[in-house]
Amino acid sequence: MFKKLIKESTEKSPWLFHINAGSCNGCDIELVSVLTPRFDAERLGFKLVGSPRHADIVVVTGPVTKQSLPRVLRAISQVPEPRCIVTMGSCPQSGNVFKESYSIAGPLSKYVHVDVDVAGCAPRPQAVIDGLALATQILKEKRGQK
Amino acid sequence: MDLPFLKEAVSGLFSKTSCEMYPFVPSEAAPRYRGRIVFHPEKCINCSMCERVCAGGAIKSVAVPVEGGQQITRSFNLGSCTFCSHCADFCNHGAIELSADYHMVATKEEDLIVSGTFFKAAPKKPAPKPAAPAAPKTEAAPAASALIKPRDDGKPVQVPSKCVYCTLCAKKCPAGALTVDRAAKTWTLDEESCVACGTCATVCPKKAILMPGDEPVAVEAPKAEEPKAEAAPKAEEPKAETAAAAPVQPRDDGKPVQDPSKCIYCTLCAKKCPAGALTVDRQNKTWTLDEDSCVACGTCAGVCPKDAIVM
Repeated sequence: MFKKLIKESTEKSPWLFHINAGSCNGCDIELVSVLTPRFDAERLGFKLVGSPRHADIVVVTGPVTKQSLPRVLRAISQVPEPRCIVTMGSCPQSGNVFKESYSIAGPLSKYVHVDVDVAGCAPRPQAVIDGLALATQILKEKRGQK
Repeated sequence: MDLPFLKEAVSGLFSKTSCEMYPFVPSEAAPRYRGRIVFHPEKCINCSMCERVCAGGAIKSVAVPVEGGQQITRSFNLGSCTFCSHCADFCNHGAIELSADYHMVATKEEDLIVSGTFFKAAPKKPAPKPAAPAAPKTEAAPAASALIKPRDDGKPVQVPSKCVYCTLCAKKCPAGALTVDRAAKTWTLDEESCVACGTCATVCPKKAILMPGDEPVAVEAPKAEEPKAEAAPKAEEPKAETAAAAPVQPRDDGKPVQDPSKCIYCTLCAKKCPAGALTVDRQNKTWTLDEDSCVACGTCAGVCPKDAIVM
């Protein structure tokens, strides 16, 4: 009986962990505006947590800079499975204008499997909510397979 | 007991929420929002200006040769796009527009690529005869009764009577298809390189280039070569001396003339001259024009606060 309760609760309250991998902060600002009362994602169950070990969904912003790469990978490795990695903005997806820079270690998909891309520069908060909803769906499928 | 904001707390329980309940209530982007790119391949002329100006390097094209020409596929990677809209701004034919659609969420990279394919016919081989009077491409002296008309294939046509050989069109041509010789007064178009983008016609300060849609221009007797030859000996003297005469007449070759009675030597004209052809000395009150550099564009006359330059 508790199993069903726990299953429902985890499905309906995915916790987010945000990683800034060298972002210009545009996407970071849009992410916090998604979680605050105006475009409230918290009413849908999303919560920002301070430790990757508590998270279900990892949101990564920023082109992955060489300096941040080992830290980003370390933080992501601490997120327990099943997890969903969401890249926000065009920077982690391709590097955008920073593509051929000496300090960019390349798109995030080179290092980890990325589940959802939310494109935009910066994506609109409503688009981010779409992306998070898709991530929740993927997470549900991953849990179903487990 | 002090309960600050008690009134607000209670009234907040019963007032309308300020949250935009997005998934349940649809949300439209603001007008002129720069969202998903929409490409109209039938309008594209393959000038590749969009690829050149793209900030994020998101535009790529692939050309596959087919019978009669090429099958060109232009793709826009939204995952690399900054949505700056430079591509849409620089596209002279309106083949790119940024819609108000902001829902760009994908699980695979392919979902973020917008592409369109169109067929580009190979240009016809140029006629073996030299330029016919109806469409002069170089500075061949046209027949007296001919009309200069825009070309059917969209490539630029020069109007020799208006052209001042300033070489701006050659400098701005993204394909490097124009060669303009100031000294020899020739304007040559490389048919193979020209992509008919219209940049030359847009930058020409004398509107001396015709593109499709422009009105045909009657051929005037070629601007008498003599005044230009006469101006040449004058070129050696500094302009300040010849402009000392009281009524200031504009020059025949279009270059600026200073009116010393109005000039205050503020040096604005020298600062704004794109060719760096003007030297103005405030202390000594001299205004000198470098004949060779001057392209007769008229910027100096435009910025002069005292209208002291006559074109």
